[in-house]
Amino acid sequence: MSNIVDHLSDKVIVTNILNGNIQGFAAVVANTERLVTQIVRKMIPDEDDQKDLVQDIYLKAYKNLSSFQFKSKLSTWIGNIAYNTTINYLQKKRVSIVGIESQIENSIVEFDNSEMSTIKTEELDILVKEIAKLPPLYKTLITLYHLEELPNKEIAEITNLPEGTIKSYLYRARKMLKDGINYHYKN
Amino acid sequence: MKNNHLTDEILQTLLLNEVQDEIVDKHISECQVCQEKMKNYQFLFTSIKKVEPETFSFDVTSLVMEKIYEVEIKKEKNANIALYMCLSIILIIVFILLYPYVKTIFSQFKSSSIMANAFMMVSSLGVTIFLLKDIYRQYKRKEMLILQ
Repeated sequence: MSNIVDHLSDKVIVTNILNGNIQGFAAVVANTERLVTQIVRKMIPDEDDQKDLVQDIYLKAYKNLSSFQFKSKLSTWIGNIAYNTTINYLQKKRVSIVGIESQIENSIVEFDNSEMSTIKTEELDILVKEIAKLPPLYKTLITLYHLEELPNKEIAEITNLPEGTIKSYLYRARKMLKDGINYHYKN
Repeated sequence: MKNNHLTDEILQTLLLNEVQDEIVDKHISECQVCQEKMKNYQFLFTSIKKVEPETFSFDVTSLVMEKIYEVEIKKEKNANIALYMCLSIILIIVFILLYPYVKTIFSQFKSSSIMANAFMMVSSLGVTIFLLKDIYRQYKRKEMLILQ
C-alpha cells in the first residue's frame, strides 16, 4: 500500500516539476537529502568536493527527470545517481572502493566482555572511528543498511550490485568492525 | 587447523533472523567461543544503531536550487537568442522576397506629408504593441491555469 502511495506522490511531484514548477524540485531535494548525504559523506571526505558532487548529482537528476520511468521510488533513483556519480569521482581519483582491507583483519582477538561494559561511554566514538576506517563502499553499505534501514533490494537498486554481493560485503564489513573494536579494547 | 566453530557469516545471519537452525542453536548454547563472538556481534548491532547520521555543514537545498535557477536562466537566455536569430532570419528572407513590392510602397510615402506619415506609423505601431501585449497576457493566464 505504501509503495502505491509513494509511486503516486512521486508521479505528482515529477509531473509538477516537468510542467515548469522548478520550486517543486526543492521538495525533492529536501526529501532525498539524507540519503544522498549518507552516500556522498561516507565516500568523500573533502567538503569542497562534497559540494561539487551534491550539485552535480541533483543537476543530473533535474535534467534527466523526464526519463524517470517510475520503476523504482524517486528517492532510490536519486540514490542511484548519487552512488554512480560518487563512484565515478572516486575512480577518476583512482581511489579503491573495496580494495583497502583493514590492516587488523587477520589479527582476530576476542575481548573480555566485563571490560567492555566498563568502557561503554567510549563505544560510539570507537565505532565511529572504526566505520571511518572501512573502505568507502563498505561504509556506505553499512550506513544504508543499519542507519537508513533500507532493505537489501533497495540497496541493490541504488548500487547496481547483486543482492548476494551486498550481503557478502556487509558480512565482511561487520566482521572488520567487530575485529577493529576487539583490537581497540585489547590494546 | 579446522574447528567446528560457527562462521562469522552464520552468526550474523542468526542475529539478523535470516536463518534458524536447531543444530546451530544447540552449538551456541554449548560453545563458549561462539557465545563470545555472538555477544560481540550483538554489541556491534546495537551500537551501530546509536551512531548519529552524518550531515553536511552546508544547506543542500539552497545550494542545489541556486545552481538549478542558474541553469534555467542560462537555458532561457539561449532559447531567447535562438528565437531572435530565427525571427531575424525570417524577417531578412521576407524582406528580400518582398523587396520589389516594398519599393513601390515606400514611393507612396514620398508623396504624402510628414504629419500624415507620422500619424500612420504611430497608429500602426500602437495597434501592434496592443496586440502583442494582449497575446502575452493570454499566454500568461493559460500558463497559470496549467500550473494550478
